[in-house]
Amino acid sequence: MPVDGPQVTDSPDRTDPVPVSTTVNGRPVTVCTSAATLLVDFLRDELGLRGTKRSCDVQMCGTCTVLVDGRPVSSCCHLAVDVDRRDVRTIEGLADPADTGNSIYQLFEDAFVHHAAVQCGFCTPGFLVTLTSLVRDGTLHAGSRSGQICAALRGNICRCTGYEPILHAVESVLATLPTPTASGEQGGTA
Amino acid sequence: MSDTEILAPPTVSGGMIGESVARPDARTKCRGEAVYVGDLELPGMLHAKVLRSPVGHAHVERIDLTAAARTPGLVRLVTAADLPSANTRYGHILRDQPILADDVVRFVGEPVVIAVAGDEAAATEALDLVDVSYDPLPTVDLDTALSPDAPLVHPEPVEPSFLRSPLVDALVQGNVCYKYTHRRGEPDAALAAAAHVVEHDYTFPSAYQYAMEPHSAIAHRQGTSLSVWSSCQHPFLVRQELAQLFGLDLDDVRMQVLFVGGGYGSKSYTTIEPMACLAAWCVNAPVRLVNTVEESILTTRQHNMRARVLTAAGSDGRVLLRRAEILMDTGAYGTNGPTVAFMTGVSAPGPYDWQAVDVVARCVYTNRCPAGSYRGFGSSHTQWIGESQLDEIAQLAGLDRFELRRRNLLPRGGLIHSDMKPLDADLRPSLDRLENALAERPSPAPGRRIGTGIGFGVVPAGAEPIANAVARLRRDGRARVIVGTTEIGQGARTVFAQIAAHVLGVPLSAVTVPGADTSVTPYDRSTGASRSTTMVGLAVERACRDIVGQLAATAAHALGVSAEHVVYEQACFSAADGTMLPLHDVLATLGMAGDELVGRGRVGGGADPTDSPVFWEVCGSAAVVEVDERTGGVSVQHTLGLPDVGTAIHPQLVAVQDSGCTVQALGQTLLEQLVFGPDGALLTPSLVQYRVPLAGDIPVDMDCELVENGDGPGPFGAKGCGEGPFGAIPAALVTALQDVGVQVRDLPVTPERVWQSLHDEGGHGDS
Ligand code: FES
Ligand code: FES
Repeated sequence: MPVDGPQVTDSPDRTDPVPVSTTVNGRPVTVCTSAATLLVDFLRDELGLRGTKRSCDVQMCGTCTVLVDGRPVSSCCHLAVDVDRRDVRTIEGLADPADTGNSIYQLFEDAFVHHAAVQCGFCTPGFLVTLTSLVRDGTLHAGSRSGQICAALRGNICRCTGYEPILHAVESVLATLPTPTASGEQGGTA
Repeated sequence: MSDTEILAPPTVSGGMIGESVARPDARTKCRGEAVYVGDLELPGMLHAKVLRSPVGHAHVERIDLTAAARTPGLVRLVTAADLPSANTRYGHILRDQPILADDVVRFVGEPVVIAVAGDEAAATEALDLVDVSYDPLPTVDLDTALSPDAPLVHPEPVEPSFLRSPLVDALVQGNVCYKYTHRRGEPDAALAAAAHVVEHDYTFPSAYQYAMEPHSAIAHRQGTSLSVWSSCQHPFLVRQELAQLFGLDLDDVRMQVLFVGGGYGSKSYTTIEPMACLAAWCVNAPVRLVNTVEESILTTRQHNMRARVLTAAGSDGRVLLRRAEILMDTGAYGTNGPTVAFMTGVSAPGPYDWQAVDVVARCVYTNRCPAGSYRGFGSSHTQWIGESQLDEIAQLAGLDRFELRRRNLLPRGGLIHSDMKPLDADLRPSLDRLENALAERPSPAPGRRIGTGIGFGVVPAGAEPIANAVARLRRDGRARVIVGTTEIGQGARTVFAQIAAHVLGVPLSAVTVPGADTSVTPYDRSTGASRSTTMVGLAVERACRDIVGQLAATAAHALGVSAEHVVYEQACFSAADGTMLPLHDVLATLGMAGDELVGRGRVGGGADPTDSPVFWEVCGSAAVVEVDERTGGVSVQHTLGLPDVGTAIHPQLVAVQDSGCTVQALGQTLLEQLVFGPDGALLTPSLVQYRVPLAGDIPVDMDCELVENGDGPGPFGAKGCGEGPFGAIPAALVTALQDVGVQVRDLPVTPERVWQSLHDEGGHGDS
């Protein structure tokens, strides 16, 4: 579920520009954008980060998933102004070898390729962003059972693969991780 | 083909056929670097949004653009009055659909006005200020459309379009736009001779294909030509319609297709391209039109159906008569409806040896959003009904369900339809495998029931036995395969690269397969009907063999023998005396660095078969379901798919086609349904109300065992795949539910329906 963003209360006109200072994939970004701009449009259209996809618009499909302060959110249901003073990571950031989450991302990328979990690919960046963060925050770990993996992925839809290759890919990655500590169960949600 | 044919076909060079290589496009897609149409940004590009009708059927009395025209950022408002030519209607079978409604709207969601602006927000704002007055007309749905005094959806004459076939001869009469009739044997006599008869009414809901990338297009007019980027499956057929609408030569319309974010039939034929082009025609700048998912549901959906179906059998369980009377709801426009109704009629008897068949299927206009293709159509509509009735007959005749099928299953060469190619596959071994797989039934927990079921998908596939390919092999050993097939996720580019690498004897990494571009890639009818590997793959094989033939001529000259005595194996040309010339030495005789050989591959003409279908795509499936008696909840424990692919060029891609198709079919059977209000307004307009399978909904175990007899018409004996389970899985799930006493006559089989059926047990008579 999305993190709560700051409330925008006294914007007289939704098209009035509002200043936003954020960090996107480690790079500071300061711009003025409309208070009504969705995070997905801000990332895709204003920053040109088009690896984040847009499908359902109603927080059901997960193609638009990005990380805000490390937690997965649906950027279609998040305003750009909500990431003011927050840290945003998109698929471009995670896939970048310089990113701190890259080693986990890379395991998933390799596993998705190996298990043919990529067909049309429209859902894939969203899955990889979600999965990378769920492993980093300990939600998914070496001991996760398939029911827990499915529950963790309930916010990501794939229409091509029937999920089975994706689940195989996830299981193969989790099997390579160290066994969790008790506190590893805490953390983010799908 | 070149003059010098290669005589000995090259043997495996890279071991490519049957090898599950990594998809060359997978990493690009993972990293978000794959470009889909909606990701393109052209200089000066404008954005379009569409105003849609809020009413199901009405005269458009007046469109007032005055207030809207003052919207800041707006560039242009476009209405039907802006159409450039006298050709105002499109549709590949029936020319019945306007780009924008002119005097009448026929469904809730029909496009009326396009706003073009600097961004989508300004376009949307302008549309909010457009004032349209509608004078309502009565609406019809599938229940009312055929009554004698029903209002007509298309009272004006509807012209036939370019894609006509003798088999699907669409003709508008009243609200029926196509009628399929197939009668063979002596139905009445067969019925009179029957010992067991089962007859019921069934309903099949409309599903939404939900390709995750919504329909997207960018159009740009330059003088009197159009450049279009579209997320479409059939660029050449879209080109045809655009050329006709805008009065252009085919080559003045250039369609380019990048990666496509899923299709499943929803992006077959023409969808939003005419609107994007009309907007671009009016503003002289590139115009981007990207649907929301909610708009894509209104753009195309699957046909809902009502059917009355009868099975008559002798006391020995021999099937005598399949009778079916079918109504398909195509919505306000025909699109591919006549073909869908045709396939539904063809599929109604299933792969069984009937003494008589009597099937009528009508494709009906209604005031609902238009319906088109969805994976395995026809077989998905009727196979579950057919298998369900066979199980009922087995019970009446006191026969085991497998034994009943063994007595009736069509053999290879058996007739499914009098005017179509006989069955070209063996189903019997699959039946045995399904029986073995279901031999042990798990025992249910208290309050649960466990049922098993089976089904066959038999889909007429291949569309048209015509395909073209061009292959280019460069002096440095790198190859490019140029085809009009679109990469919709199925892995066509991967399979073509494998075929090329295999025949040319180069590594897979040396082969690239760019996207379709009608100005460059040779004509391909369509990407659908499981035809790409089979038909285009064969053209790719021939194009590459053409190149090998050209190389062999050069090699023969160098080796001092005649070309027919040269053999190409392991990337080496050799003569009978053992002298050899490696591929790279032959390539070195070409011109400077960039020189290349060009090979041409054609399927269609000469000795190529012309019968229809190109092949029958068959798949047997089994399912094990668990039913919770208390809640009616259904959990699918196991599915087994036996797709018959002839030869699997990439077994892993076949397996994931099967798993993807199985889960979509599961959604269709258990979860998904578009619900319409009385005036045709959609009551399930978004993914919030329209529930597709999630990871937690898939079968606990999913198995796929490939059937490979090397008997397909495609390259190396391959046949296409990925649609068969859409007939087989719903049938397997329905018969599994029936196996535990759940009566299924209406899909989807929701927990509510299951619960109701369990609680009606004993008291439910025939309809
Ligand atoms: S587009 Fe954001 S969740 Fe679907
Ligand atoms: S790969 Fe196409 S939707 Fe997941």
